[in-house]
Amino acid sequence: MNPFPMVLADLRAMRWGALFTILLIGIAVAIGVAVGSQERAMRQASARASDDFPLIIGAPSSQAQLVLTAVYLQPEALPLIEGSLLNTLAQDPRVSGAAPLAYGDIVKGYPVVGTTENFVTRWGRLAPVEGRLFARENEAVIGHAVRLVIGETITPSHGVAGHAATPGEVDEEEAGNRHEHTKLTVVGRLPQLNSPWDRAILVPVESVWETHGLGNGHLVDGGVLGAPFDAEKVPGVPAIVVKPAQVFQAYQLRSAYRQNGTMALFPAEVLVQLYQAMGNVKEWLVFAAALNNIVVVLAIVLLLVTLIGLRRRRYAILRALGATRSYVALVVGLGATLLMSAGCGFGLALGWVGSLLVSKIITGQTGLAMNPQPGLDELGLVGLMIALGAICALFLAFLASRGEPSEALRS
Amino acid sequence: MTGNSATLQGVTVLRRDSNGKLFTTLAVPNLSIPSGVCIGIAGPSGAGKSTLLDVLAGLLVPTTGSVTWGATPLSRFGDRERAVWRRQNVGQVFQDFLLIPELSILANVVLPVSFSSLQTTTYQRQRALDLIASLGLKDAGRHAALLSRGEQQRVALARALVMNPSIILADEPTASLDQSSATLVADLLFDAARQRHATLIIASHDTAILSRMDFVHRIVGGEVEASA
Repeated sequence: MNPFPMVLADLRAMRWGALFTILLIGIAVAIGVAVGSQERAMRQASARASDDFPLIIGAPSSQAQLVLTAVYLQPEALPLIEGSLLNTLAQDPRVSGAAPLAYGDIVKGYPVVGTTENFVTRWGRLAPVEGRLFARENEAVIGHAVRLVIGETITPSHGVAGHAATPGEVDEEEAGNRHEHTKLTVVGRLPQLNSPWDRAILVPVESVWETHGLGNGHLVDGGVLGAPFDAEKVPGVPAIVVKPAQVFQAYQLRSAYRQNGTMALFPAEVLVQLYQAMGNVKEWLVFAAALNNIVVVLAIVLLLVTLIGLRRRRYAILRALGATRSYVALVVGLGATLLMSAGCGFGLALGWVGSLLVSKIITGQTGLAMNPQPGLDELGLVGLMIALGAICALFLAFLASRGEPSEALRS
Repeated sequence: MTGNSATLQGVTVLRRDSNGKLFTTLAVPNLSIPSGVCIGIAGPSGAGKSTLLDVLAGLLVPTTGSVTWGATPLSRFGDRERAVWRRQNVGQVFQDFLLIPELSILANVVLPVSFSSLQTTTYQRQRALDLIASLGLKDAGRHAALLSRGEQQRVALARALVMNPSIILADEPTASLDQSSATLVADLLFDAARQRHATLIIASHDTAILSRMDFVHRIVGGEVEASA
């Protein structure tokens, strides 16, 4: 038997209803898909961005804030730790590399971060794709997405805590807080990292200290950059990134620097806590979306039940012409399954497009590059919806094939 | 193969009214329909003409009695067997045509083929197109919803004939047509029956069509009264 001519005729007969059904199921499914894929993309992107930060040391304060500032460049006013710690770490055999991260200034909305060459190259892993690394104070290496050109001279401004600058734009706050005495020259551009650091301007930490009138951390002015910082008083920094020599030493270092006025943490452990919170929220959202989906499917089943009631005569014609009950059931069941599957497919696509758009917005705001993909969870949700739809379609098929055609024909 | 002579013995159809009380809608103690004849069923509205056609088509199983077509004990068949028998042996034409408006003329005509086959064969398709052309219908791709009532009834007739039935049942086939369309449809029905040596049974009020029948049975109050 070939039910398709009648299935298509039925769909054509209820074209607006069919479109409405697909749209309704699509939106319901899309919410669940978007929530799931977005949350996972956020988790993956944030985990990827923290790869370059094995251990962070800062002054005792909020762990989450330290991670947000150091890893995701969402600057807040953090308490400083003694700059002399940089020298201590440089001499520690358990440390493979340590780099200061000094925040506070901005140029065209891009954060200026004072650090050392070993962090700029991520301990030798990266090289500029254009130009070179900074070799002296007042030279800057820019992230891949920074809209400045090599050779350009820029003037940093003092960032205001809590004020969100727009990357690439100079706002009133920035224009009114310029460090007019400091001129930085862009000398290189780093490769794309798909992290907020693509929008950072990296300068020698000495430049940041000098800009704020704290000296340059060295005894001799204009000398070498980086450790050892041999000044009598090394200025403080908000955070130090530490690359431990061995994995087990990472734990030793974390333990060692969790006392005496410092706080050491693995970004991953903070992220796990954040993910747990995100995960709980996601579970509730997905649960609510699933519940919503069920309600929508049931509403549509009711709509189709009404429609089948109105079409009793139509299906009785088929029976009168020699169609078996199973043919009528197949027409109705297949039609309902097609509608619900189309809705689910549309929802999957809509949810994916939705999460791509949300990702684009988040990337625009944070620089965190995300690649949301529907995963097994979302496909499972869609599969579940299709299965639910198929069960409902069976019920509808049963309803449509019931009854005596002679009665329906005279109705 | 079903013969196209019918025997009805002790057939009654009982229904319940709105109070749940049983009443007789059809009572046929004994009725024989010879093969290849044209039989008219006459009677006022609600007399039971359509019920008799439904019983003859196997759409309705009588409460008592038996319906036999040739050697086929139709009233003993199950639902599925009756559907298959109907598809293979009966062509039905309804007063309201009962086309599927969203399908084309051709798709409406070949619809019964789709009940048993996945695809319409070239032969079946050509046969349907020939039938459509022979009934004076043009452009088989037109949607049924766009046709005049006369055209719709001709499409319904083509659909009834597409499986080459040995029994043609028509329920008030000319009731909603104007005089010229009614005459044309009646001519087509008689021609189709004659060409196929089919048994033609028409329930109608139309005296013009009834006058062309070999026999006419009157039904009053559900009971077959007499033959004329």
